[in-house]
Amino acid sequence: MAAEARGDVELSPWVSPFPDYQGNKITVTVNYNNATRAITGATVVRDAGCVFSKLLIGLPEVGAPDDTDFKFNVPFGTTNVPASAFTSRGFSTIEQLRTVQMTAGR
Amino acid sequence: MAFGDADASTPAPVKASVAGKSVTTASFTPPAGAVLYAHAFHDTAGGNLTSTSQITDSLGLTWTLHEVASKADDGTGYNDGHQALWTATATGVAMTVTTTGTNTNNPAGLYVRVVVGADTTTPVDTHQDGTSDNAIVSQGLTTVTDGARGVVMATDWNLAANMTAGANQTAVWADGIGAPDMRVYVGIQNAVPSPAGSVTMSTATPTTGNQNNWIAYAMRPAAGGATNLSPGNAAVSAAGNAATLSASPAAGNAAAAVAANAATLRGSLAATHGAVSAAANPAALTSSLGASSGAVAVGAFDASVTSGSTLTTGGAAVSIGASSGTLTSSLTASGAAVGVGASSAALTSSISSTFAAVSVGAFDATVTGGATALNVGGAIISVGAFDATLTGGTVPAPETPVTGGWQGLLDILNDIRDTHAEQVAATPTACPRCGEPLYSTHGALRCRFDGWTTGPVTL
Repeated sequence: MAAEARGDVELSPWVSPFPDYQGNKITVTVNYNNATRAITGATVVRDAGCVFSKLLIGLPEVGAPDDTDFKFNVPFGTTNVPASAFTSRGFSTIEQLRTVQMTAGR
Repeated sequence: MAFGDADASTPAPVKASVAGKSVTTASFTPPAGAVLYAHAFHDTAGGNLTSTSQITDSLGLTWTLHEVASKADDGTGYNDGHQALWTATATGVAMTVTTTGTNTNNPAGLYVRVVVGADTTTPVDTHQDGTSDNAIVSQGLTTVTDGARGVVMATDWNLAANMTAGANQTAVWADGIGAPDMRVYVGIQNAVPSPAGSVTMSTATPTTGNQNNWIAYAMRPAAGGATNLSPGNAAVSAAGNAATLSASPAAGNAAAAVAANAATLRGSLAATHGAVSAAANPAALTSSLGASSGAVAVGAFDASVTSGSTLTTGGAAVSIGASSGTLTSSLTASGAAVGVGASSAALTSSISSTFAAVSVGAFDATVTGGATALNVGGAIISVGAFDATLTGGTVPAPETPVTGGWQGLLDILNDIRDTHAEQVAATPTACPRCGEPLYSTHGALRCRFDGWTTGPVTL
């Protein structure tokens, strides 16, 4: 994939790794329509041995990211996440999803 | 675990593009006394000269700012983007950490690395910042503390691509934060350097289209922990990792690992010291052993003394496990290279006096090299199934002839055969059946008890 410059429209997918202390990671790949920006689904990959088991999206008004009501339990291997999992939480486009913080937790 | 490795409690990086210009880590519980190295990243508007950031946490710890790389801090010669390095000392209580930008754009990122064994008073040994366009990140550092380990954090404001690690380094986190995006990177030296000196922290790619700022620094190990042990102290790991000692311990100290990894000593052992691994990996000594010192591996691997090291008096390179005890330097007095396991005890230098290269297992005990010599009382012994070999040098002449073996057994057999023949040919004096003395009668010898005679009786 060609490198983009600042100001370019970012093309699908949006990939985010969250490594643990050993470099094992949860990697989130969000796919979206480049024209409409609508999220079409995502895959979450948890490396063998990764100590993180949850994907934490958003930050509650009170408490830690661990207390967010939008989190996935992530089993080892690849998990497919349907677009409806995002749209049901109000995240229809990739830009909407990016406006909340994302991390991984135990 | 080498110094600077992330503790298992280290939280995942976090990123966002929120109106509050902040991100918060998930909850984590670092060990008390661990140093928290917070790498904070914030996007900035083009030409922003007023960006700042602040680290806070849920416990109200005191955070120290060590370095900022931004136009606001370093002038217009730097690229856009803001990054800062902070540290605090953990209390052992569950916590979260937050970075908040001021006069920044919304995108933010944070990576907090929990490091055990760092100097809590001066956790950053040295630091430098820099900037470049259309080039890699590259920053030279001169560390002042033996074992200080280099880290580089960087931003690319132009979104060229994720950065990759430079030579002998590993990328810890390489990602884009928020929207519009900004690339962020944290990389670390693969190994703990020793001694202190010059290191270069860098990336390998991208090399074009990028607009970098960076902070390079070295984490400083705690005095009295990994370095500069006072008498009676030890760098010990009883778990699954290594104990590493980077400096010279005082008397009675040891670098020991009781579990599955190596005990490594980079400095000198003075007297009665040991670099010991009781488990499955090597005990390595790259310096000198003084009196009664040992590089010992009880597990399945080698005990080695290398690189010109010397065992001076009573020293030993010993492996009781399945592999070799290896000594590539000199044994000067009462020294031994011993392997009790299934492999070899190898000595590639001289044995000068009352020394031994011994293997009790199934393989060879060898002494090699043209200059090799067994002098007074020296021995090379293999009790197992294979050879004891001396190549080169001299063996002291034996003081008495060696006898025994098959020839000796044959001689005994021949003696018995000759004695039997002589006895058969000789005239008997007693009855062979009851032992009664024989008497002579009619030209023959006769037993008066049971009637045995030597031949026909002439009447």
